[in-house]
Amino acid sequence: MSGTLELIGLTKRFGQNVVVDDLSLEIPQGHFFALLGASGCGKTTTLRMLAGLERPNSGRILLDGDDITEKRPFKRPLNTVFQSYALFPHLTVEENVAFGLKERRQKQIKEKVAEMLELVELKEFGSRKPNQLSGGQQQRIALARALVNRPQVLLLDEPLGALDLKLRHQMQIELKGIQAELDLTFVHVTHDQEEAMTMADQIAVMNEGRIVQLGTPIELYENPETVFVANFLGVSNLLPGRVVGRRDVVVEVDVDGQRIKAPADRNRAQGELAHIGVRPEKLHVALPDFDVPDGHNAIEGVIVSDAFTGVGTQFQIRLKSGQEVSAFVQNRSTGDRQAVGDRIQLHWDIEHTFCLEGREDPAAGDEARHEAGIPAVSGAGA
Amino acid sequence: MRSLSRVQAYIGRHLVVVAGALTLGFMMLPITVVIAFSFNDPSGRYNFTWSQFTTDNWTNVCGVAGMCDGVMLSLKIALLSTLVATILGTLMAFALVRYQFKAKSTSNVLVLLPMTMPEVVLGASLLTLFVNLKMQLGFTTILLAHIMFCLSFVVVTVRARLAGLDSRLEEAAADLYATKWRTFRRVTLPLVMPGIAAAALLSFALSFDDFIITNFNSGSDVTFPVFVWGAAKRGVPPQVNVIATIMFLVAISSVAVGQYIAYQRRRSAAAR
Amino acid sequence: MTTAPVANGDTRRRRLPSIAYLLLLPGMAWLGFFFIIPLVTLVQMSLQSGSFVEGYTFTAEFSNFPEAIGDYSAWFIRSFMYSGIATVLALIIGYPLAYTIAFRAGRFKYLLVTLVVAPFFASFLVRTIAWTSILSDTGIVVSVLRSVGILGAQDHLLATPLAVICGLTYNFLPFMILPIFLSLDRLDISMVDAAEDLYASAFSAFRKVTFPLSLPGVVAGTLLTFIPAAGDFINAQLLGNSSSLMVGNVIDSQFLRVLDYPTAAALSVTLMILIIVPVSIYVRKTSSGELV
Repeated sequence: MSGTLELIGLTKRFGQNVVVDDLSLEIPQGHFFALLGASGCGKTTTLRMLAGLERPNSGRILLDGDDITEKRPFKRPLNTVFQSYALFPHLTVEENVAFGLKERRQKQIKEKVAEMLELVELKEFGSRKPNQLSGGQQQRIALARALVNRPQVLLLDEPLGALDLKLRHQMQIELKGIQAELDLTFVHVTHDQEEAMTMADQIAVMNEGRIVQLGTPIELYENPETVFVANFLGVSNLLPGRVVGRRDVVVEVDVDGQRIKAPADRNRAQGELAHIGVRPEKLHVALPDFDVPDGHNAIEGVIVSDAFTGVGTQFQIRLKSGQEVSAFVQNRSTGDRQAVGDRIQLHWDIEHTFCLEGREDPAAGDEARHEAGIPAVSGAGA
Repeated sequence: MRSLSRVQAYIGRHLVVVAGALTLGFMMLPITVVIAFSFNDPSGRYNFTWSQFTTDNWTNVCGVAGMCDGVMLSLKIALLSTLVATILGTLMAFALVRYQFKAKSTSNVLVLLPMTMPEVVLGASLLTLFVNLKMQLGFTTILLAHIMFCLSFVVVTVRARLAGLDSRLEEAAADLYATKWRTFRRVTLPLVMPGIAAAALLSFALSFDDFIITNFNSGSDVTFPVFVWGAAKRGVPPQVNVIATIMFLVAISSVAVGQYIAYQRRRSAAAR
Repeated sequence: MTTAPVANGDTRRRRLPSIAYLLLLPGMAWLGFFFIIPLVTLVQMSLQSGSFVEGYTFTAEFSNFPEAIGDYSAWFIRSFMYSGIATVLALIIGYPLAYTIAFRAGRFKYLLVTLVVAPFFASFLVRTIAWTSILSDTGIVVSVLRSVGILGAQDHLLATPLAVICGLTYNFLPFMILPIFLSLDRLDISMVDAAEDLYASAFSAFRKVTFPLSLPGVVAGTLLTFIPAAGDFINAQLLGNSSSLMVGNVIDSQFLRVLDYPTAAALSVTLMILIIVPVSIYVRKTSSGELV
């Protein structure tokens, strides 16, 4: 089985609007690959170009080295699970699943359809019409209808968007399981960063038609390269400062008179201006006189709000500069809890610090997050 | 090989448009001829072949004996039957959409039935009724007949609009202290109005243009279509084309105005 | 008539049915008087005997039917043949236009709908008469066809069955196009994407997905074209000749010129039955299971 996709300099314009801008990417066989971004970032257009439903203005698409850029959709060994499923309402479930097999005049259609319906656990629904099924069932039929063709690559366009939260989580696990079982290349388009992180081996974060960062979920989360990625994936505290020292292993940044250190290999600041970043769950909340351990950064502040969520507490802390940061503290301590109005000291491991280019807008990616419908303060991914 | 299939795909993709354009041309041809021949100065009795350009037919529309009387009669009947059919039909549409009652499905069928009958049958059956009742054929019988066939179209048009209306809007109005009557006047009626207007336009056009049913029930009264029918045997005067052109212009501008309003609404909705 | 609320508990339906009857009454009475009763008198008249001068009396004269049908079977056959051909033609040439307007017209969509609809509010008769100039021997169509050799020097278009069918097709074309356009316009375009993604060529996607999903429009369009075409006598009168007349022409002349009311009524009733029966079978067949 093969299915390595290569996108080379792919560009798509609608009128004056450049929707996909010189995009190059390699998707290795057997990977679960996610294209993540807010609406309008070009991810769906990219997927539609892979499927052959949209023609690029320039660039090439290679499948295992073969140029498929100009091939019509029905000549490509790729199949799609559409956003609203696009199940044919005039055909039964079985006829829907058999559609592609019949078009290619395959043999043993009945057996293959039955086998596939078994895989998605909807064997007894074969003679129903799609509108007699629930959303989750329709989703599985759409998946079965694509998978039964044994595509080399499966394209998924926001496949879980129409499902409620609980069903979505369940389907995420099932999809991942099916992908692993069949060892297929999956290209999954989504605006939901949590969904992308849960399922994908690799994520390409897209913004304005370009890929802003590519990596595994852990790389993207722990080591964002831009403010956009830092804000779009999870919550980041970003503190503006000036680079005052660059050494072999660490950079030193002045944040309101405090010296904050970050590992040199996690530094993206080119010039003097920088944003120091740290995730809320990496922060420790301590008393002002607490002896900060070696290898930690520290900064002082006052608690302005706390929200107890069971597994932990979400604090908002105002720093001397007036900026607020959030900290997530797990519910593990036995002693007194800090309360609103307490003066405290925040400290965290230097290794958990990242340093981003200071000329970037500190709110970049926030808007995309809101559009994607993700609350700014979540469970901090803990 | 690849370029060949692309050429085929290109032709295939545009073949539909070419065929569609041909059909549109076929549909536009007669009205173009009608408009063109309204400016013709025919050499004989028959306005079939082009002889020479003139605007006389437009400046002297009523120069043909009886034609303008026919137009006036048609207008009068169309206005009256539109008025009555729109009122009765709207009431029926409300009953059929907003209430549950035993005879509902029977009523729905009864309303649709006249639309599934060929016009000759409707016209002939009305004639037998009027003959049995020994009624004088003329203005009254034409009007009675026109209201009957317009009614179904009004009900169907208004009912479609009403059925598409979110009834939660009325509940919201009731929740905001509107009485039933005020809810109807301030919420329901304004929202259904486009449907009622469309129904009225449709029934006006149907009534004004009807020939077959009118033919059976007009006696010696001459509406515009009856006049044209009679003239067809002797040679149609070009003034008839003028009237048809005016009808066309009125129709196209009222459809255009309606769509412009709808377009503006969509645009302002999209802007928000 | 009861004032109890409807049992389904749906609050917005909980209104007095008596009001519904009140709203329905005037319109229903109108339909009763001027649609139902006339049909009864029509049937009754079809069973009368006598003559116009002496007066017709009801004698349950069922023989009117076999006589009328026997005498005018050729007219019936022509009516159904011409209107059937016109319906098929209207479908063949109307579908591409409906498809173009729905999928290929872009922002000109509603302009094109207007162009399709508007001419049909201008006089039916005058537009039909316009075909006589288009198809006349001196017209451009005949001269082109003659120069190409499709028509011989002695052949005509006007006053032939072809002209009648052409007129019928033209006159009822919008009734074919509009319902098809409406069902295509509602069609979710991702269905077509999905078909192509599942290895269907453009033609196959049309045949297996687009066309079946537009069937409700096709059914409505064929009915709205066939029914009025079958009863029409205007096109046959204006564009045909004496041997291409349809049953509508006979009903018209029997009622208004020959004044043989029972025969005319028997013909009308027969026409009605011949249309209603196949139409209701067709509707039942196409709406049961095969359609969405």
